[in-house]
Amino acid sequence: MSAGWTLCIDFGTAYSKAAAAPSDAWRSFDPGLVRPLTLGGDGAQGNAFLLESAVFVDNERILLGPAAVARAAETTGAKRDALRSFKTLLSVSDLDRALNTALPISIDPHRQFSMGDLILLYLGYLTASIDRAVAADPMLSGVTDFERRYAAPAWRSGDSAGLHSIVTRLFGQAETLRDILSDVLLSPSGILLGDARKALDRAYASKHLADMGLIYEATAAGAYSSIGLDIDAPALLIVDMGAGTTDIAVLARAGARVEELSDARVTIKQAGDYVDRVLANLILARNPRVKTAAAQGVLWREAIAAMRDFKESLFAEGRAGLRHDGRLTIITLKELERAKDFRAFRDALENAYQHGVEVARTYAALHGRREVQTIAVGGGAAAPFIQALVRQKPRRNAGKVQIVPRPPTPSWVHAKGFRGNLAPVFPQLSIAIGGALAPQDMLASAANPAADGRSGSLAVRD
Amino acid sequence: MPRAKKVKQPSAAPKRAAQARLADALAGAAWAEADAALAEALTEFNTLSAAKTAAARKDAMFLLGQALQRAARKRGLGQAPAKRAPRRRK
Repeated sequence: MSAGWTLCIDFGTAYSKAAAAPSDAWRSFDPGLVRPLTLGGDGAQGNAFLLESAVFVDNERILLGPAAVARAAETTGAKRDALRSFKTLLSVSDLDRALNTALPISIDPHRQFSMGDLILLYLGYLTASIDRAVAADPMLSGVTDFERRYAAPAWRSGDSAGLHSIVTRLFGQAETLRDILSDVLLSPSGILLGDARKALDRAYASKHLADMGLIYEATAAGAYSSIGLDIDAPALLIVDMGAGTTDIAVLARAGARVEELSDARVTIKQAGDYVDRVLANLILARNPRVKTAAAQGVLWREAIAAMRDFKESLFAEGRAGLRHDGRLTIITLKELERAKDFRAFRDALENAYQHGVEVARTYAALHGRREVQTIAVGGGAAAPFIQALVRQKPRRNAGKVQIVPRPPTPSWVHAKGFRGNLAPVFPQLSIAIGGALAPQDMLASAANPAADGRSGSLAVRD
Repeated sequence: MPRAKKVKQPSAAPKRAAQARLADALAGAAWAEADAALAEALTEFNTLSAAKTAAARKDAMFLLGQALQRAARKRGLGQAPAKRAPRRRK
């Protein structure tokens, strides 16, 4: 086994993150060698470990990352938008076609760029940001070569190898783009439109493929939650509630090898965004004085804009308040749990969980064991109903299966060397860290065919 | 996939320095998240100070508490909800 380093990129919906860890971390784990990367650079405003996933096509230049977000905020009302949420592309069945899609005029008023052009520029920027962060990290600056990976949600189609080759081609072109544009990519003032076009054309001509592995997000979660522990339970059930979908997956251990049991995989089309809408509807219902459609629209947008913090308070304290037009609306967790739409989501979630437990139980029984470990990951991991779910016993417990829930933040995150500062930001960095810690056996590839088959899925992504 | 080149593991002192630097950067990140909640708390405190009715004071107090709780969570300072706080001894 090499004593080199592994680097994992989490190409997130709102933010991109990256982390590095020694390649042999799985065998001899030292939390002090886990290195999340400051992608925002030393002078970053806000959280330096998060790099906004955004591109803004301005009048003469293309802005990337935080500069794109700031410029888009300045142009509110001018019907101009930044390109965001392009992570969803990682789940589409025809990625090449999606990349060739023309952009709406609100994103590219010049009609000069495709979706793929802007994503390639962003990936070049992300690659340059990673290089800068590695150079600034005293533990990594001497590393000349990393084993690189990227984390992705489960693919919709079974052709994950085809999609993976497109992504490695994109990252390869992004590396060429970084070499062409160099420091200009990291300049807050952006790239001149003409320079961007020329650099893109040269990058497309490149046949360079990035040497990268793919790790599924659920597998990365399995890695960070069980590394360094003497766990001999054969199955780990993962509930991953993100913004758009909730995934249930089961990782199986057979000796040192870890693979996903494809029969257990269920993707539910309701997740964080759905809960947001249920809560916004509850807030509207509690404000009958807001009568006109226009006024209701204003309240709805205010509620959605504040929802991240609102949900955090609701889940942590059991109630949360929102002031609108001088009046306070308080919603309790019990009110959410009584809402019809929420109950429908919870029923679907419980059915999917029970199905996963059944598959995990069968696998555990085959190995003569009764324990099934469970863990909640993703943005919704802290929600009380998700935490209650991962403690739920099987409905039919003929084999007396023991459910052993794992904490959302593993104990190694509280290691002395971090001085208590990793835990508060761990949920945002966890997938990149888990992806860097996972051994090669956990990568989704031809070497791990069980992770590629999705025929047993009961539901799929949009 | 080709293996990464062998890299010497850092010795104790540089490793400690690198770890301290990372801990500082992580603290900065957590504070950046907490700052927004503290700014909101300050706004609510001003609203509370200017409130003219008991109902307005109660609302502002609720939102002030909510913002402070959020700032504390962003810094990793967990606190049980008020209803679960231990009773004082008589």
